[in-house]
This record gives sequence, C-alpha cells and structure tokens, in this order.
Amino acid sequence: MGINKHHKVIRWPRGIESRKAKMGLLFTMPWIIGLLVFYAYPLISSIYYSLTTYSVLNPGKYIGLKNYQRLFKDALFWKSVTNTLYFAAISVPVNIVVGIVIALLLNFRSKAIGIYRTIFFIPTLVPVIATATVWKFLLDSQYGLINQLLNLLGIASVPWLTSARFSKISLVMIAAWGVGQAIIVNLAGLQDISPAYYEAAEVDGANGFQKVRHITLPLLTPVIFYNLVMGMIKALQTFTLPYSLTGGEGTPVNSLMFYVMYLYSNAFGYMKMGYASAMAWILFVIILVLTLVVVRSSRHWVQYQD
Amino acid sequence: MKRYLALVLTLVLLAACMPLGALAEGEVTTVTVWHTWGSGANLDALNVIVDSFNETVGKEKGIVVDINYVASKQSGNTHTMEKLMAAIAANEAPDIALLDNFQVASWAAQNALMPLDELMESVKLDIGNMYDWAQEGSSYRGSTYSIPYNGEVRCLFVNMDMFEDAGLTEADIPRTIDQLTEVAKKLTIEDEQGFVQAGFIPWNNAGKPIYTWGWAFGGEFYDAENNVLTVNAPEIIEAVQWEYDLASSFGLTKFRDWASSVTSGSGTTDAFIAGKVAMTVKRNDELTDINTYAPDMNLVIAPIPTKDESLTTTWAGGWGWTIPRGSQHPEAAIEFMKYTASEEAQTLLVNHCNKLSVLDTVNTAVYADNPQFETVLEVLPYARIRPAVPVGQMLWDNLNTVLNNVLNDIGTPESELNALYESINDELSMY
Repeated sequence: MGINKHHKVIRWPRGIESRKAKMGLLFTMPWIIGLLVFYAYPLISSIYYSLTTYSVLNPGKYIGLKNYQRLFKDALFWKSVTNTLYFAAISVPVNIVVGIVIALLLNFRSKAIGIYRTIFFIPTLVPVIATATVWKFLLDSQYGLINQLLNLLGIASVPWLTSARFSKISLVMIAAWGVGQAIIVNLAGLQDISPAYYEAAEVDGANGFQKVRHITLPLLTPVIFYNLVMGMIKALQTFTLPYSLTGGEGTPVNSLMFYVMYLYSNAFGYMKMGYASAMAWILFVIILVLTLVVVRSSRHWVQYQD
Repeated sequence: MKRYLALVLTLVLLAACMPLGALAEGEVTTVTVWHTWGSGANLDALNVIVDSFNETVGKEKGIVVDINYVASKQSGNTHTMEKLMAAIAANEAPDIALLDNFQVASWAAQNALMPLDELMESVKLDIGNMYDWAQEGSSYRGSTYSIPYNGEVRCLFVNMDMFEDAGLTEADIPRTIDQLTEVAKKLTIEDEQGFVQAGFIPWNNAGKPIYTWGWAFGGEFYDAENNVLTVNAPEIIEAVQWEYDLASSFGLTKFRDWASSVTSGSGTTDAFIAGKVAMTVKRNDELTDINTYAPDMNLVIAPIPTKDESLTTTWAGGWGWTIPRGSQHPEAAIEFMKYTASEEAQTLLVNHCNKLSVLDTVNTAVYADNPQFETVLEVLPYARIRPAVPVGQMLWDNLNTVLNNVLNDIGTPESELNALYESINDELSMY
C-alpha cells in the first residue's frame, strides 16, 4: 500500500533505469520498513520517553529534563560511568596489543598454522554466558584452578572476583580471552601488506623487529583503527560478562556495576524505563564523542597503502 | 509431484483455518501461569499441586492450569519477571503470575495487577487464616493484590561439631548479640596462612540483607503511617556498625577478603556446609542443601540472636499468586488460587519442598515431629516482611550497597544510611 502511495506522489523517470529503481525499492522495502518500525521508531520515541516517567506498564508523565538532572546526582550512575570508562581504557588497548601479537605469531608459515588459528578463534564461538560460568570456576578464590596453580608456585591466593582491587583486572583478562575476532581481522590485514615492502627492507638489511616496526605496524593501522573503534563501542556497552559473573549485582562493592547493567536494572528491576532511556542517550552521546575524537585523530596516525 | 504438493498445502491451510474450538471436546478454560522456577524442589511441588488441581477441582469446573517457566532479571537472590512487563503492555498477559511477595507493591503501584477483593468474595476465598506476614505482603493501599502461596524464615544455624571442637556446648548457643560476638571470637581460628575458620560472618547467607540485623537490633524500616522508609533509624545504624566492628576485631581487610572468598560459594562450597563458619543465618528451605551435602553435620537451629533478649525476630520471604492486568480468565484463575490456599494444596506443598505453608495449621501438622523445624515453628508467628512499598527492589539493592560500602571503608554506617534515607524517600515520594 505504501508503494502505491509513492506512485502517486513521486513522478518516476521513465525507462529501464526507472523500472530498475522501482524494483530495487520494492525488494528493499521489507528492510526499509523493518528499519523504520523496529529501529527508527523506538530510537526516536526513546528521546521522548527519556523526558517522562514511562515504566513500560504505564505511559507516565512528562517531566522535562528531570531524569537527566536526577542522573547527575545519582552516585551509582557515576560509579557505573567510571567503571565502564576504566574498563574500556584498559581492555581496549590490551585487546589490540594481544590481538596484534598473536596475529603476528599466527602469520608465520607452518604446517599446523590452521590448527593454531582455530584454537585462538574457538573462544569467540563460546557463548558469553558459558565463558562467564567457566571463568567463575577458574577464578574462584577458594577452589579455583588458577589459584591452585599459583599456590603450587608458592604464591598466595588472589581474590580475583571477590575483591574490588582485582575484579576489573579479572574482567579484562576474561575479555582478552575472546580476542579471536580481532586476530582474524588483523590476519587479513597482515596478508594484505604487499611482500614488495618486506623484500625492499631485506635488501636494505632490515632485521625482523625493524620490519615489524616500520612496515607491518604502519600498514596495519587501518585495521588497528577499525579494531579500536569497534572495541571501544563494545567495551562501553559491556553487559553480559559482568552481569552473569556477578548474578546481576555488580559485586564486589559495585566494582563490576557497568553502565548498561545499571541501565537494565533501572528499566526492568526498578520499572523506570524513562530514566533508563535517559541513560541510553547519555551513553549514545559518550560513544559518539569518543568515536569522533578517534576518527579525527586517525588522520594523524592511520596510514593507507598506495 | 508439484500437483500433490499443492494439494497437501491447500489441506494444511484449510486445517489451519478451522476454528480450534471445533477440535476441543467440551468447554475447557486454560489458565496460563507464569513462574520463575527453572528447576528444583519449588518446581516439583508446584507441578504436584497443579496436577492435583487439574484432576480434581479443575476437572469438575472445566479448568486446566498450564504452568510456564519464564526467565527473569536476577539481582542476587531476587528475581523480577521482566517478560511480564512486556506482556502486560502488549495486552498478552498470562492469567496468573507467581511473584516474589515483596515486589507485589511495585507491580500494583504500576497498575499492572488486578485488585482481587471482589473475585475473592465471589469464590469465598478468605486469606484471614494465613500468617500476618503473608497477608501484609499481599495488600497495597487497602486492596489485596496477591494470594500468598509459600514462605520461608531465617534462623541461626549452628554446627555443633565445630562448637564441640572449641569446647562449647548447646548452652553456649548465643541468644543475644553480645553473646554472639563473644562466641564468634572464640570460634575464629587463624594461622600463618590466614583464617582457618570463622565463628560467624554476619553478612553470610541470609545475614546479608541489613534487614536481618536491623530488626534484630529492634529497628523499624518503614513508617507506614507517614509513608517514610526509616532506613537511618538509630537501631539500624547500630546494627551495621556492629557488623563492621565484628569484622574489624579480626582485622577488617583481612577478614573481609577472606569472608568474601568463602561466602561466594553455594552447594558443597557454601561456607557453612564446607565447615568454614560455625554459625550462620539461613533460610529454612536451605535445609535441603545441608541435608544433601552435609547429612552428618550435628546441626542445631536456633532463633536469630537479638540485642534485647526478650525480642524474638525473624523475617519471611515468600511468593504469591497475582492476576495481571489483561488476564483473559480471572474467574478461572481465582479458582486455582483458591485451591492453592487450601489445606490440601498447602500440605502437598510442604511435603514436596522445604518451604513453609502460609497456613499455621499445615506447618504444625506436617512439621510437628521434625526436630529441624522446632525453632522454625517457634519463630514463625513473629516473622516480619520487607516493607510493601513500590521501591522494594531498589531498597533491597541499595541496602546491599550500603553494607558493602561500609565494609570497604567507603562510608560510615551513619553517612551511608543517611544518604540512602534521602535518596530512597525521594524515589518513594514519586508514587
């Protein structure tokens, strides 16, 4: 029906091109409608809801910017912001470095290279809930395998997930376990670097380290840039891992209370969807600003071949 | 081939278009029930009761109850049925939802539940014979919103084997907070490696909610008359201070870190079951775990020690049946709810899990000869419930945060509870 309407309003150019355009529109219509109904509509309506006391169960009252004002006075909101930024600031660089180092190692020619690559990719195929459950056992302060190993080496048990000092570091460790996706992207980037550069460097007498430092890394910057932006967005939206590790509580001392976890608690635990919508928009702005900063800075450090 | 396929498809389409009623024999109303128990004794008991209803009252009145597990938002031990939220908003609500009783007020305040008073009258269902704590959690602003189903209370669980190793006897089981502190110190053992065992970790198991100790010190969390959550009452501040002082007497950081490593376990690694603590506050339904994993433990169950010896205190949690807004069959739903409140169904309940009945007659009859339940039955009439306010879940989470902040020297009990007093009453005032 929507298409017929368009027929009347918009005058299409005649000919094969126009028929193609019409057909193209017709076939993309399910996606366009889906996008409008299931993406654009909720997105835009959440701006309105962030200005109300909407609870899903009730439309709520319009309260202007009150939700935003309350948020800035909410201690747990700030705690969740610092937790999330702190985690992102450590986890993203760690994942990038680990991702590059492993990709470099996996880029060597060897018979069993396929097996090695598979081994590093497997963790990303494990559902996050399963990852969390396994790591919860491994990092258990009393009975965990990792502490048992440390004890064998004469090192005292570390309260990995039970002390606020170690909890975020533990999370960074677990997140680094799922670095396989970045490794694959890095590997593709590595294969893309023309062998001519390395041959030229060899002629000039460069050693392996110099080749990595002056050829591989600069030419890998587009891939690093991609991993940085995607990793940052993913880290700022961290939810499943800390949620399942702490049974939704963000313990110890709210040190694992992440931004989206608190958003979820407000929306579905406290029935404050309006407040949660306000949080979502603040997160959107934070991600937008950080991404813009990274994109702007990329001019200075990202180098493309040719 | 293609022609046959077309024929088959046409037949399938025709069958799909036929009204379902034409296939059913007689008029049967299906009542859908949503609950949050994925497995375990609670689900077993529920299944038995539902089967029994379907075969008796259900058959007679043409009602079939169909129970469905729905996942829920978890926060420690509390669960919120988030799917119910979307279902009600979409007008696809189940006929009955089984909710944690302390959240009933939150749902009722959102106008998400049907008031039950008229329906109850129509089937002559009276909950006046249930415990006070069960009834209190069911009402919000003068209307009844849930039919209590089950409950459980908290008591002091004592490992007598550990008592005997320390040369203590049953006479040493503490009745007051002072005695508890003293005995806890006697039972705490430390060597060069760190703590071997603790006498008592106040925030272990059901001791974690500040409610347990606030009430044990004689505090009140809610002033219903003025609709104020009195979380910074002097007794409650004193209670949290006591938890802090007890931990500090062993070295705060050392004790706290050790405690959090042992208290994070469950099942066989539960601190009490693993013999890491001699005393703990637990819910009566946790007896299942103890009887399974530590059947040989010489266990004594005593009332929670209180500041003032004359005070008996415990608090009850429990679940209740509610009818969500938009339920298609409220009349059939209330029939099932009435059945679950009967002595027959309540007896089935306690025979299939370690939860308590909401009827005193049933608990007394079933548990009279069970020594493990002697104290439970004794304290049951004194049980309190968490304030029936719309901000119950937020209060629960925030009280846990207060305790954590205090134990980590982020704030004092007074400053933390004063801050909570301001923020939580501000939230409450929005309803």
